[in-house]
Amino acid sequence: MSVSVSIFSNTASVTRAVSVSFEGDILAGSNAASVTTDLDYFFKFISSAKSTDGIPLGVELNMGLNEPVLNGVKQSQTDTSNAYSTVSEMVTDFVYDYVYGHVADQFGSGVTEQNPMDF
Amino acid sequence: MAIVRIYHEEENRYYTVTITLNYSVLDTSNALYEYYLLVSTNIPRADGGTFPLFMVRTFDDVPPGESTATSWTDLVDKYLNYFVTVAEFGQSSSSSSSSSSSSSSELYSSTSESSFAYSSSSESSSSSSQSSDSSDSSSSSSSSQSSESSSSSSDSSESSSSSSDSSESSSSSSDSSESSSSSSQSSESSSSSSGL
Repeated sequence: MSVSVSIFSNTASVTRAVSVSFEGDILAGSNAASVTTDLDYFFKFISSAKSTDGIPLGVELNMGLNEPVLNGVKQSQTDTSNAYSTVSEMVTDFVYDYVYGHVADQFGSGVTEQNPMDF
Repeated sequence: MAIVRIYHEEENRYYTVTITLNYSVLDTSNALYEYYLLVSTNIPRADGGTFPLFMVRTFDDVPPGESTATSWTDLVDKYLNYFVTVAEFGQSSSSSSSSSSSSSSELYSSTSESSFAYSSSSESSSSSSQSSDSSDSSSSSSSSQSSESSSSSSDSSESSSSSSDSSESSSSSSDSSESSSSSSQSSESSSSSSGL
């Protein structure tokens, strides 16, 4: 069961969505140094929307409140390395990053550029 | 939604622990939606009562007696350990120790389900990262938790509400909480609804 966050553009009269869910799975890929049979629990953010340059926005995972959205270093809204204090704060910040994107190495995070969500 | 299945050998049945993401207006003074996890289980307490619904908004919303969580995996592990400890799963009623371990696990990565097995003759769960020896929980801690649970189990209550209604809830793990039962629904993010 996931929560769908709808984002409405009153300029374009278009709605986009970011799906948020809490999962427990065996992780592979960049979030796992090596694939093991250990289960990990995490928040998963997915969206079928694309950025303004036509690139699919893809999947974001959050492993804990101490892992901000930008490369686990900085939050997308403010230049701070503090952990999120609540689930709401974390979800809001991740959705914010989907909608507004970020510049390359924003806040010294080392992340690549991501353009804003296309409406 | 993450569903953890726990197999009880003697009873030959599965119990579940469910962790669900939910959202609702929790503070009517600002009418803002808040996101939180709901942890529920059908594992019975050792005293025959039921566990209340637990709401998680921060890493401090851990089971009674637990330290602040460091990750979502750590948080789930704490709740799993709390439930099986208070339920006294794996407490052997037999003095025999000759039987080999009979624990088993089923991992369902595609459906976010996981399983653990408990039996009175086995003291270990299957997953190495989440193993918890029920024998490690001392009888004193179990009894103290049972005494806590007996006072709170009588207060447990759950209510459901439609998606458009606000709901009241408590984040204290020792109190009962009311939760909205809305399934996947849309909400407008306050941070992005304007100017686009």
